[in-house]
Amino acid sequence: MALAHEPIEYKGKLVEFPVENPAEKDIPLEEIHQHLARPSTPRTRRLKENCRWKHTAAGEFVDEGVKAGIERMRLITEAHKKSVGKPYVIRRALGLDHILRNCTVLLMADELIVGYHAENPKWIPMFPELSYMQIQDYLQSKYAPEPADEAREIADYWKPYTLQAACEPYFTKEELKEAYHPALIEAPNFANGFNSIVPPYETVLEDGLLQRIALAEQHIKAAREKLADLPWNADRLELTDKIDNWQAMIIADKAVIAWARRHARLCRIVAEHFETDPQRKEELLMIADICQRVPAEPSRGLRDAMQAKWFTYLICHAIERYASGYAQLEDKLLWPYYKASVIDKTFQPMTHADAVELFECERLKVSNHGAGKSRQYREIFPGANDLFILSIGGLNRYGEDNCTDCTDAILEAARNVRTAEPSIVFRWHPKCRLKTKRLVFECIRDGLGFPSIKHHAINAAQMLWLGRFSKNNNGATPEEAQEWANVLCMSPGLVGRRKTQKTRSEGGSSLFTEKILEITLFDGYDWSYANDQYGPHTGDPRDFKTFEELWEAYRKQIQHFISLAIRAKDISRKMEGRLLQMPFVSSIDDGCMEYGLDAMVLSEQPNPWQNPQCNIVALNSLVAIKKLIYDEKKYTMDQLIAATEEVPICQDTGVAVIFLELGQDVRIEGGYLYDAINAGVARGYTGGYLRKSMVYPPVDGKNSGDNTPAIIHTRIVPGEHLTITIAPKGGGSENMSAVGMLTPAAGYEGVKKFVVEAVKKAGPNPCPPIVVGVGIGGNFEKCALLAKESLLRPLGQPHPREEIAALEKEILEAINCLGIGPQGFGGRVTALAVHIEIFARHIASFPVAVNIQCHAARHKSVTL
Amino acid sequence: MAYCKECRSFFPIPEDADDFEPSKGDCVREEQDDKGKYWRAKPVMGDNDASKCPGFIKRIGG
Ligand code: SF4
Repeated sequence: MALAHEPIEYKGKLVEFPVENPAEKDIPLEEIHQHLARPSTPRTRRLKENCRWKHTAAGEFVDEGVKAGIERMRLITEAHKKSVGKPYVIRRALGLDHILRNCTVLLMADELIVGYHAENPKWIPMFPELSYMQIQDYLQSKYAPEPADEAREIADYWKPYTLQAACEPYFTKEELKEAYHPALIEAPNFANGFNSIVPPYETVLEDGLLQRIALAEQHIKAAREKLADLPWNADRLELTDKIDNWQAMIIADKAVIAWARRHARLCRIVAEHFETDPQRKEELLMIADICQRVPAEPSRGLRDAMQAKWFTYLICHAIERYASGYAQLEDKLLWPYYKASVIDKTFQPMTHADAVELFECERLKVSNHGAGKSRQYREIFPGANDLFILSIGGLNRYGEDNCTDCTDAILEAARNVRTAEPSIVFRWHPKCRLKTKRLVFECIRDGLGFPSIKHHAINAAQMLWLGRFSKNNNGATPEEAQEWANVLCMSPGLVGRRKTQKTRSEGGSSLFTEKILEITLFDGYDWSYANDQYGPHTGDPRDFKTFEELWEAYRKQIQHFISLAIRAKDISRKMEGRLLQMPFVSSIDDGCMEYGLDAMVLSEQPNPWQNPQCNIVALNSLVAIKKLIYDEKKYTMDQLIAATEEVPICQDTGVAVIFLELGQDVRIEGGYLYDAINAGVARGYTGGYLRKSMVYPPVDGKNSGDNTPAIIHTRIVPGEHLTITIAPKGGGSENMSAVGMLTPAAGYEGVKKFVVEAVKKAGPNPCPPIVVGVGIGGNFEKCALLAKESLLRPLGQPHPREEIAALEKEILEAINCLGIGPQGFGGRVTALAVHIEIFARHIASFPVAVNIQCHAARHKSVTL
Repeated sequence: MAYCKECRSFFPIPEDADDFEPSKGDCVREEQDDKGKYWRAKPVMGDNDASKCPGFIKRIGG
């Protein structure tokens, strides 16, 4: 059922929170998402049903059939080989030209906005020119492009020409090791291929590319005249580079126009030769007309603008180079076209509802989009195909409310179609109209998880302040500062015709301050993940007399890693300017066009954002250390370090299950053995700060306070030794145990079915990946004990009997086909092993027990 | 020998197109996957050998 807040009293008034749609009250919570989804037209309903999602979970693509395409790799390689000897920026332009003139263009049923970036709607393109490690990652995966030999050959060809190969020589091996650690700094973009951009969409929509080509031609003409001026002055040598850049811009823009028009032709051919529905035929001819005109010409209506924006997005984010994000101030960007079509009805006349449908189509286009991110980035964005975040609201450049009916159409579409992407940032300002703010909160109320709300004025002030550090004294003006949008997930940046951020090496990245604090406590040594020295030696904190000494050590570690991160960015950027030029992006930036500079070289508005991830954890820890160790002296640094090193990996440190093997010749003196064991358990759980989980009596009892009593199983064995094995067992996995009394005829198949069913029923509850213990035979209690004992066997060691080992293997395979995956996020690894123990049984009984162990399977034995 | 230009999927590129080249055409195919229909266009040369192309269907008439 939908949850509604209880009424509250505020300033003497009772404020109620009724459910807007009373029907929601009767809908189960797990179904509410689909009930709230109401794509506004049959078209967007179908588009959503047929969306080819590219979401990832636990590093894997969720939907069947998603894989890397070979086409872009192949085409850029052919162009690179053919263009040897030409200036590199021209080679980049020719690369884009070759891709756009020879790639497959796609048209999907029902769409109003066309264009995709790979040869199959389920595939994603590869960028072998970025990071050779990232390409290797794909080649080794089940998403590898085919034919595999050709893909490998292409990857080998590019290795020396990649951005990664260009940057690595400027670092020592040690530094690269530190930079590639996944949890200290965001790895350099030359290694992971990750990137972000804010395309200057405005120039494309306002000018059209033909006008940009004409501008570049004028610049070339003027530059050539200047070159020929008398007397010669060597200062003019820089004009040669500029001419190359403008030339590259022209090549790129012409290629983009030709590519857009290939879409126009495809729509026309499909309309005339394939489509039988007269209404869709009309639509296709309309889309053909749009793609023929834009982005070559200025956009005149909302359909033009949306299509030109999508084409521009694809080139900037997915074809010329990969870049994450969906940065734009969308309502400001599209308002003139919304006004022309919906309000003035001067071009592509439509209703507000038509506009909403178009925005729904846009959201589905984004949901269908796939990014060839490395595994690390697929893992850290679970549930998403990439980061797509657009901004709306706030004030316009004149300080007036930027919210319009176009803003509302964007929000209504998000609310109707209910897709996770693109996410939305609402720029909050008191002047923003109430109607729009209400829609913002309706989206949040409906559980979309967005819009996030950012403070318009603070971010505008930040733009102005940062603009003061512009390298060419051309940072944000007060008007431009009002028009900011999120660059990727957090940092604000300018939008508009120039001064937008063109690459992630210009700004925006992450620093993991909590991990850096952890290694500070160990003199720069990372004991918990990599087991190696990663930071500089800043001393053993147990020798520090004051908090200030610890703070100074931490400061040095932070300085070390932030310098490494920024150096990696700056070197990336330098190399991007040498061999990863972006002539199309340059052509649509007024600054690059004016100066004849490449987009990877010109940076007008600085962005120093370096997100300190988990800062709160680091700061809370520092505050606690200062208070408890240095000020109140409640604990010592020795105790902290000891506790840190031996930290459990789950809060549930379980019941202490003890297995005793007692030699029959052993004599225990000086007390009762079980008391000694319980005393040891109490000391371990108390001194080690482990959670105490035992309650007695079991129905309504109290916590024993020291995790006793232990559960002790004793076996008398020959000899004169005592072996004690401790196997702490958490409640979450234990609760998923099952015992079944099968019929003796059930056989191996029956056992397999019973075990797989138990694991399936357990789902994510036992914290997969799990170890599955199985007991077969004996009686009711014996098979349960067998199942538990089987968990003590070293992981993956097969049962000595061949047929049982084969059964273990078969069951493991079946479990891993369930798709539950690590922590239930989906994937191929639900269980790490299946261990079976067996015992004789009664002829009429066939007991089978399943005891599940979570992935924190820690056992320890000692023999006395 | 069969040629692309004889195929039903071959559509010559008009002379006024940005990517016009004599004898070049679009190979336009209707495809289907579990999510529905889509159409793909790839540039091909009319005198490409079509004898091994599984998509080749000879056009009837001109
Ligand atoms: S490639 Fe095959 S399907 Fe396409 S035009 Fe040539 S013969 Fe026909």
